[in-house]
Amino acid sequence: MKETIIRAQGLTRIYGRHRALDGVDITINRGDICGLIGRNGAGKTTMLKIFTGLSIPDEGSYELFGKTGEQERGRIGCLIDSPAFFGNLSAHDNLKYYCILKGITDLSKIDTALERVGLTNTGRKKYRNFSLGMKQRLGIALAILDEPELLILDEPINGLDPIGISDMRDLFIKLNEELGITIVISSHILSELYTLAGRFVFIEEGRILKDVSKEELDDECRVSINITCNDLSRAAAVLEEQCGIMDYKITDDRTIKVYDEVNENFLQDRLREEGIGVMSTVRKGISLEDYFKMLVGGKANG
Amino acid sequence: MIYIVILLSITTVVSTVLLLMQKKEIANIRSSLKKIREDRSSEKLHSVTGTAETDALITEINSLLEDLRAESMLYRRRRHELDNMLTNISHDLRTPLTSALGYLEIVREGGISEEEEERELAVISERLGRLRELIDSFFEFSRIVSEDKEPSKETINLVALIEDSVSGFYDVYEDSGRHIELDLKGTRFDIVSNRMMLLRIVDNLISNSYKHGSGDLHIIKEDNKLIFGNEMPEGELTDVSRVFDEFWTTDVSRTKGSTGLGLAIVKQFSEMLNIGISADAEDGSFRIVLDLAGIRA
Amino acid sequence: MVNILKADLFRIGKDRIWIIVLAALLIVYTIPGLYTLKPMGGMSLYDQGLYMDLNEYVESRLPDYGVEYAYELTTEQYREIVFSFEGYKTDVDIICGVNFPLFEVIVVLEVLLVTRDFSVHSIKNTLSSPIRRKTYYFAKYAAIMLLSVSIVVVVNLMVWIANMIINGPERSLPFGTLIVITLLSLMPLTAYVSMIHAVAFLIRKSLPYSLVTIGTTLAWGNILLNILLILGGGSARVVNLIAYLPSMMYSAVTCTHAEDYVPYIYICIALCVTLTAVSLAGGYLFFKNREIK
Repeated sequence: MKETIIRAQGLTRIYGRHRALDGVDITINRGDICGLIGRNGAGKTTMLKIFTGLSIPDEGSYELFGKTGEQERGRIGCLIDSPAFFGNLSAHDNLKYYCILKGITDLSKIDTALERVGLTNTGRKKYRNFSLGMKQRLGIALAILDEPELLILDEPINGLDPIGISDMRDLFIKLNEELGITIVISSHILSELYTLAGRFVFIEEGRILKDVSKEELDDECRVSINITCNDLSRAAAVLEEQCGIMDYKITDDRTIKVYDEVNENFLQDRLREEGIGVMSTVRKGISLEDYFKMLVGGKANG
Repeated sequence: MIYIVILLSITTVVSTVLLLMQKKEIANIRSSLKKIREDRSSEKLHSVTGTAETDALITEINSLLEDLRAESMLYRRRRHELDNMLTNISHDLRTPLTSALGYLEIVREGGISEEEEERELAVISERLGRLRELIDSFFEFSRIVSEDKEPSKETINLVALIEDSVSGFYDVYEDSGRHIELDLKGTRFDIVSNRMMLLRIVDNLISNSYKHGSGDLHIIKEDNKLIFGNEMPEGELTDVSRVFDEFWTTDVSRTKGSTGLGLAIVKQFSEMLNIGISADAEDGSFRIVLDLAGIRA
Repeated sequence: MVNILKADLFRIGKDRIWIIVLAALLIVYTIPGLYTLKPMGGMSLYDQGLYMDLNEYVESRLPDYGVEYAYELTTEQYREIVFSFEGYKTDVDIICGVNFPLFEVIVVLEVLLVTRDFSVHSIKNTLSSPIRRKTYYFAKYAAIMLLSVSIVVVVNLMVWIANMIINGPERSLPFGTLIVITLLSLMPLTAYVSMIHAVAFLIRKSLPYSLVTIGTTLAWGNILLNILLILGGGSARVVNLIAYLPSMMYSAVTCTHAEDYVPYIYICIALCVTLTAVSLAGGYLFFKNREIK
């Protein structure tokens, strides 16, 4: 049984007449890397703001580490919106300020964090002279400064160059594997999160559209012909024997997924000829971005 | 007089404040430690008032807590691996079993020619053989993982051992038009190791290269290093850092006949025999390098 | 709580330019005033008519110097006149007078510690993990109080010592009186800091906050005075209540034995306490559930 880190029920946040969050239920377990995906203004930031105490929900409740209220918030590190630091201080001094503030006694953590995000060579350079990417890295450094148990990152790779993005992804995976840090990360681009997260939560207009694991997402996106029939064992034999199909998978008691490139009508006819009751054959598979558009677009049309 | 009084009262106020701060800090350390113990969390201590001595104390305790966290992470990862193993076993066993049952059904229904029946039975037997192979490797792997016993060692001629192993694969390779090229620099290279386990390492590496690689297999000895190199089909290998993980396989559907355990066993054995092992892949070639420096006779 | 204080002090320490400017301002405000006997820009007891006797005494001496109005006197002549007045202390005017313009400094402190945190959004870093809003609000208040109190104490001591050197011990307040005056001047200071603190959390952005507070602080004495004059029908008592800080009234009591100010001192203290409580609570309630951008 995995420990629950975040459990939210019916979270609702209303700005004026706009419902930024509309009854969101979500559970995040220890060790997850959970990707929140939605368009700009879908409610990702609002949700993360509520978990980090920057916003107070109008309805609903949430628990952090199994406890309500603010008491466990010290176990979170976060980067919400754009990074924000004092322009007249250097990277090191900015982090030192937060070390004192949070009561972190071991100041060598500052160098560790800066090293992890690759900001060791900024020296006395003031924050206001930093490039966008450097600011973003410093924001991440603050989030991981205390090696928290839960890392909440809102669009953390905005403004980073491709090498920076790949560096940060490696960093997050390393933190997750070595320190067991649970990560909640948001983005409006699915492919950015694809190689990082193990779970994907699609959010649109303040509601959760879909909550899938990486395996499920892979399965949905991989081109395959899903055959639902009444006799799987024989169907498998027929597929191999008569259709020459070797790349297939039996996913549950009624479905075979065929990954080979064949005509689905051909398969259907063959199976029927052998007296196997075929309920349906469906061709599935779609690119990640199309999948996202389909989810979001489906909502907009419906 | 009045100045002395003022000086004294200032001193008293300052030392009282310092004392109270320390008292509060100690209370904070106590309650935080209690909470960490009760919640089994991997939190760390934070100072609330921060005098030099208490800060140093907190830093020390935190180092201890960090070690504890690393330990529990290791434990968690092991458990996770075990969970994965169970899931994978059931998945891996299901596909050959279901298809064997399917063929069996066809045979039992009858109405097919003897020749055809013969062929179906051959397939069934092949599937069941595969099933046995899978089960065997699971057992072997779990035995290795759970066994902490130090393997018995003797002096072995590595060159002879490799030639021995290669001869067992000769037919398989030649049948598919591929070759195993040996470049072992001489006929004798003595090392101290366990023959059974070493043989298993070499066998697994050769069969792994046969199953997943393409083209010829080159086995080269350079100084104290033994290199297994072969070509890799385009796009086959996605993540070289994971090749030694249990159940990691490039073949997602698991119908080609790989358990993903071969290299995990190689890794486990190598570690037990004090052999350094690493993998790298570039430009369509894949290499596994065994470092034998530590076990030369 | 202590951590926020320490962190803020660390950060302010990095703003060396501000400290230098502040120190320079204080010296310019106070030391020359000890010679001219008029604080720069501050309220003078003499101007406010608290030193009635001194006022009359100076007027009576004008013919000796052949001038018609007091402002025509040179600094040397003025010094001569007031030095011959029995019981006059040269530092009380500066000490009480300088505390008032010091209030501007608090506005700056609030910008440094609070509104800049909102303006650069660094407050979300602070609030998002360990610091509760209540702690944040009151720790910032404590930081500003600590800084303002130390500034007032340092300034009062500095003026007192400088006056000893420039005008001699016989023209200086007794040390006990200095302490009481300092404590009394902390009363309206507390009320003022609380109000400004609440306003800072109400407005939250540096620029509009500075515009509002600096403007009103400069004008508040005059505006309030005029309003009270109109409302109170020109009653001197009502005007005194607001316009004079208790420290001024106390110094009037000690220096010129104007005993009738004593009840006003108590009323003023009560007023300060009420203002402090109301604005602190109001500011916190406003901030408590606010969304942080």
